[in-house]
Amino acid sequence: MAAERRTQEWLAEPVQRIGQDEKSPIYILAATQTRLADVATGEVVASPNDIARLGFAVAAAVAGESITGLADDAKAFAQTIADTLKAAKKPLIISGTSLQDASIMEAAAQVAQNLGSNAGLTLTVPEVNSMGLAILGGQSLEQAFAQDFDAVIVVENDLYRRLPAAQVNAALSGKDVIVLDHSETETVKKADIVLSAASFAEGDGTVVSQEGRAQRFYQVYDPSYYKPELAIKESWRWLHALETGLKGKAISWTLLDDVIESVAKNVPALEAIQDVAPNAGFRVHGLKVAREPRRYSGRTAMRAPLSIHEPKQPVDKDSALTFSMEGYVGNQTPAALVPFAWSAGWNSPQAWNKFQDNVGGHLKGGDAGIRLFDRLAKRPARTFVAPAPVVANPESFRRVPMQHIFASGEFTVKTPAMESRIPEAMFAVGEQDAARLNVQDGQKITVKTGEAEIVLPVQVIEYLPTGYIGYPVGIAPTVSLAEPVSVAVGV
Amino acid sequence: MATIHVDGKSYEVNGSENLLQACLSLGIDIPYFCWHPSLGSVGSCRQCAVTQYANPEDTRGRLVMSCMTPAADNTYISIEDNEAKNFRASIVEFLMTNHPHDCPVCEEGGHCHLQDMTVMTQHDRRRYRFTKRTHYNQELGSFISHEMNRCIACYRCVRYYKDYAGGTDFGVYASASRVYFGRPESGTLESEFSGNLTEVCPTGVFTDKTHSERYNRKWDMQYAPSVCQGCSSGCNISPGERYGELRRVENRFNGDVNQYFLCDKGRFGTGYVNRADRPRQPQFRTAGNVTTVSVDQALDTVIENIQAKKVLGIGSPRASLESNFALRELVGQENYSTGMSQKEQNLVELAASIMQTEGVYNPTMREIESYDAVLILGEDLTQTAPRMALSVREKQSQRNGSRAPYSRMVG
Repeated sequence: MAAERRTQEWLAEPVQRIGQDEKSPIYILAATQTRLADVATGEVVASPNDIARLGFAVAAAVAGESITGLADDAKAFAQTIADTLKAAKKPLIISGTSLQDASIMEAAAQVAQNLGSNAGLTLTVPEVNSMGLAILGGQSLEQAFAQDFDAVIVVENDLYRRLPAAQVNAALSGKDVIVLDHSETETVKKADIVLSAASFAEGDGTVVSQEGRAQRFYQVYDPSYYKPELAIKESWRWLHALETGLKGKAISWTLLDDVIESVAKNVPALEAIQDVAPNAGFRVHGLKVAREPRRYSGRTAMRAPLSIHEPKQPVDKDSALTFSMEGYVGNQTPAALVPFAWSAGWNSPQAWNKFQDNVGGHLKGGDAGIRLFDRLAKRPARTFVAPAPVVANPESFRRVPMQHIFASGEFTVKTPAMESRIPEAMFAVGEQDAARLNVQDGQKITVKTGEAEIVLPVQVIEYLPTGYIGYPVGIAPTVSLAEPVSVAVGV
Repeated sequence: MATIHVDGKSYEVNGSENLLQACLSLGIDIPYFCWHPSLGSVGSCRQCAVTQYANPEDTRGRLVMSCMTPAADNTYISIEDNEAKNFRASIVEFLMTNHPHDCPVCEEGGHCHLQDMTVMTQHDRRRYRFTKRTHYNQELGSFISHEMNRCIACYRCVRYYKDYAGGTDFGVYASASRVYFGRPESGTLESEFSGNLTEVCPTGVFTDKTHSERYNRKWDMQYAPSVCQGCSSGCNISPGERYGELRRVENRFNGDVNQYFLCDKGRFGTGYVNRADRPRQPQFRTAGNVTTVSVDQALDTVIENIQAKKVLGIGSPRASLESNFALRELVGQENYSTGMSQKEQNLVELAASIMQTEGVYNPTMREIESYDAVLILGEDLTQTAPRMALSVREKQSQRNGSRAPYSRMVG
């Protein structure tokens, strides 16, 4: 738009003035009012089932088919969205797993497919490596627990956040429970043996983001340098030691690169993770990359309370980085190995200028990460079908997961700086339902499912579909959200 | 492409850029404050002045702000020209008249853009001997400290917080040398992207409060290239450590993903790593009693306990591919679980299969900013993939108009 008026896009104020009445349309269909409501052209609050059906109606309208099974106003709304998307040069569809409803993502895929090749589709998934595990494959928890087993090894997973407590307790009772983790979780508390695993700060590893971008994270420091008794190791090291001990095999993985090579060889879909970052043998001008800035001070005194004799710095066999200021610091480091932004005369984060091919553009030699889906074979397009409408039963309620940026995270709630930012666990109830149930803000209600009774105070909010209760994911007990529930006011 | 002539040398540059951008991209330093690659040019700080000549014969030239001047073909400029140099030196001197002499106790010290630019312009003597302007500071919540005396009025904070991130509880007040950047009154900043103020601010007005309690200089920390573990977005971070504690997280630029910005969950949500109650050595646990054991003892006991038994391996979507694969090797594919519930696994597998479908294009986080119409189905993005919400918002924030109409459908 600014270009039409011959205004450069970097002229912040004129660009804003020219565009003040023109908006890129954003339509949001969600289970409650979202934090993007202020920039939305239209936002609709509906149940997950209605969101999916409205999404399929948009897909039908994009394809020029007639919309069936919706009220007239919803039909008109779907048509408006479809017309807007078709008129756009580059329409984008965003969806994801957070409402735990597959048909919503199917609707998103159908809209994107019907729009054709200029459309984009992006899907969010729950965790840092969810996409990586979807590619690696494996059984679900329920499938695994259905087997007969004597012992269980749990790796960096709090099962009580995955399944209802009763189900986890039943599965673990009478079994040898070995847990590898870096935090004191409910599952760790149930363990017979705990092996101290590394978090992202003490270990190396590869994760795959929602766009399918495989990226490597590297160990920040070696805890045993400061406290020699500490034994924090990456889970793969613990597990390989167990495997070689158990099977009487020779140790075959001594470096991270050995594991990566094994993964690439055994899981063809993950072969590209070898290219994510340079291997441990990589050098810049014959040097490893320094984790510490050149001016790093106090190293000799750091361990003085333990011994006045300064030991050798820990050696990092796994990567091309060193635990030292001795090594390469500068802008010839490949993007995947840049530990911090610094360039001579540039100490602030503005130093990124010196690492970029063009200021504000991309890092020299290409940004970090390999997009796996660009390299994998494509599957034929499918046609998805809209779900049947869910018939509302006035006697029972359904629950819709409510996510919160800080409260839903497993570890943000364990972070001291976050304490004042975590809201109290509450059931969200829409105004109409609150009136119908005769409950007010702060009053407690009991939600009964087959498996459990949960009592929480109520937060009455303006926008929530009728017949639905918002369930605070992450700060309330894990329950299956699928079945309808009955609600009683009071404890 | 365009050819520009800088101090007698010719360079090929992208003609759609401004002179400051073009010169920085060439590796030529020009000091600046208010310009930021993601926030554009406003020409308010006057620091990036250079001399522009009408043609090669012109010897007088005139001062221009390089951030406000297009890098048009056949532009002749001089950065080293004395008039431009003196002008830039006096601008820094003016900015410093009200800036406190508190670098030794300022948390920005050592990674401060104002320090860098002051050194770059070779300003090293104070001539101003009078009272400095002072302000009251605000309490902005548990993430960010506020010290308005250090402000040089570049307007980056308000342009980021309000115009870029769409925040409504932050603004600029008063006028002239008393101009004030902050909230209408003390209180927690509402935006989920407030932490970027600490990096956007070229000096120490906004600093990381979570780092304050156990503080040290940027040069005294050890870093690693890392990836945020907070959600599935894959933003790049630069965590800093000293004395075996994770002290702070800063943004690590990735031009395809997070670029210059992180969300507050990623920036301030890593304190769990330092918790005293985490297991740092192998442990035997019986009926609530925890005994610390050696690595060998732990390994031998585990091996003894699982020998000749059927062992189930439960992996995790928050563990690395390497660790999940190592578990699968140990227990065998038939006994390995991803550690997801059936419901979650079905959803994630569906997402992965849709992404591999013929004709479906999956954009990077940066590309999201280039789309001109968006339909969001069933996600409150700010809660589930916050950085992506900022990308969606950024597109719109350039054009903030009246509040959007709001409709409601009863399901």
